[in-house]
Formats: sequence, C-alpha cells, structure tokens
Amino acid sequence: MVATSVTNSIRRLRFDADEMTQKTLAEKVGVTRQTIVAIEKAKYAPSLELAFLIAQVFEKPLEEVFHFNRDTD
Amino acid sequence: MSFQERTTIIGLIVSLCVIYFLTTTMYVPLRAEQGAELGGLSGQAYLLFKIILGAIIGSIVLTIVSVIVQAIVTGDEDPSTLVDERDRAIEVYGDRIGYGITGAFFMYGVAGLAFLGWDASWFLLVMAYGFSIGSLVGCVLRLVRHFRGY
Repeated sequence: MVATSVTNSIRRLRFDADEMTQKTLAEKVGVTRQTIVAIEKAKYAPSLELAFLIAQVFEKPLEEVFHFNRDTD
Repeated sequence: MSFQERTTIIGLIVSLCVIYFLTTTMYVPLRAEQGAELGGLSGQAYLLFKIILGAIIGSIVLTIVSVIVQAIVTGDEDPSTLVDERDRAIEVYGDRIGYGITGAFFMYGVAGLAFLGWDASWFLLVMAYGFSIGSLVGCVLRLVRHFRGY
C-alpha cells in the first residue's frame, strides 16, 4: 500500500515573515483563513496554483514551502 | 466562520424545514388516506411547488441576514463572501453524496410503483423526500469536512 501526503513549512515561514497572520496570508493568495489553517495542518493539499502563490508570498521556491512524503508499507 | 460554512448551515436549516413541511402537509394526509384533501396529484404538485419556492426564498433571505449579522457582530462593513478551492471541493463531495441518496430514493419510488402498487402521489412524495434528505445529508457531511479541515 502506498500512502502519500504533502506537508509544509508555512507556519515557520509566517513566523519568519514578521509573524504574518493566517488572515494576511489568506488575503494575499485569495483564499479563506480556514483554508490556510487546513493547509498548515496538512489536512488539505492545495492546488498547484495555490501552492505557487503561497511560495511567491514568501519569495521561496516551491520545494522549500511544500514537501512531498511518500511512505510505502 | 467562513461564508461557505454559514451557507452550509443555512442549507441544513432549510432542508430540515422542507422535511418538516413535507411531513406535516403531505405525508400525514396521505398516510391517513386523506389524499383527496390535497386536491389529487395536481394539488399535491402545487403544494410541493410552494414548498420549493419557500425554500429558495428562505435560503436567499437567510443568506442576506447572515451577512448583515456578521457585518454587525464583527464590525466589518464588507464581510467576505469568498468561496475558494477547498470550499468548492467540499461542495462537490457533499453534492455527490446527496445525488447518491436522491438516486436511491428514486429507485425506491420506481420499485414502489412497479411492485408495491403505489399511486403517483406516493412516488412524488418519495422523490421530494429524496431531494430534501439528500440535501440534508450533503449539508451535514459538508459541515463535518469544514470543521475537520477537509
């Protein structure tokens, strides 16, 4: 069985960016605060477009913001 | 609470009201074999039409009221009505389950007509229940996903 998940460093990056709030980040990328919360907790994997937008806000490459974990049992 | 979460709660309330009205104005008379008092199939369809119209108007009014209440409570003059990709994904999930339930009720209604000797009044009622229960379950599942994150 193959399980996949996308984790991220958004919480740390927000902290590094003058403690940017979830609401501010949400407004910058055009989603609700609840969606940022779900992404941070890795409960929701964003679309590629949204992932790029979030990475752009932090001025980081995509792979520094999002991490793909592939676990094989 | 996001706009879509509030809209889902409104959908849930409206679905419950529709089920209540279906039960009190249609199911109870049909069950008591007083279907003639509804004016036959045509009268029953007219009643159903009024319930659907009431549900649509009720949804619109409640949505407007909820936006006004949020504006007053939060002090935000322009409360967000944003619907994003996660909201849409959750909506699709709820719709899919709702359609499945409606389809199951349709099959039950067809079976009733084919094998149980139902008349068209019962079929119409089962279809109305199918749509409203499908919508109700869809709203509940959407709400669960909203509160769990996804």
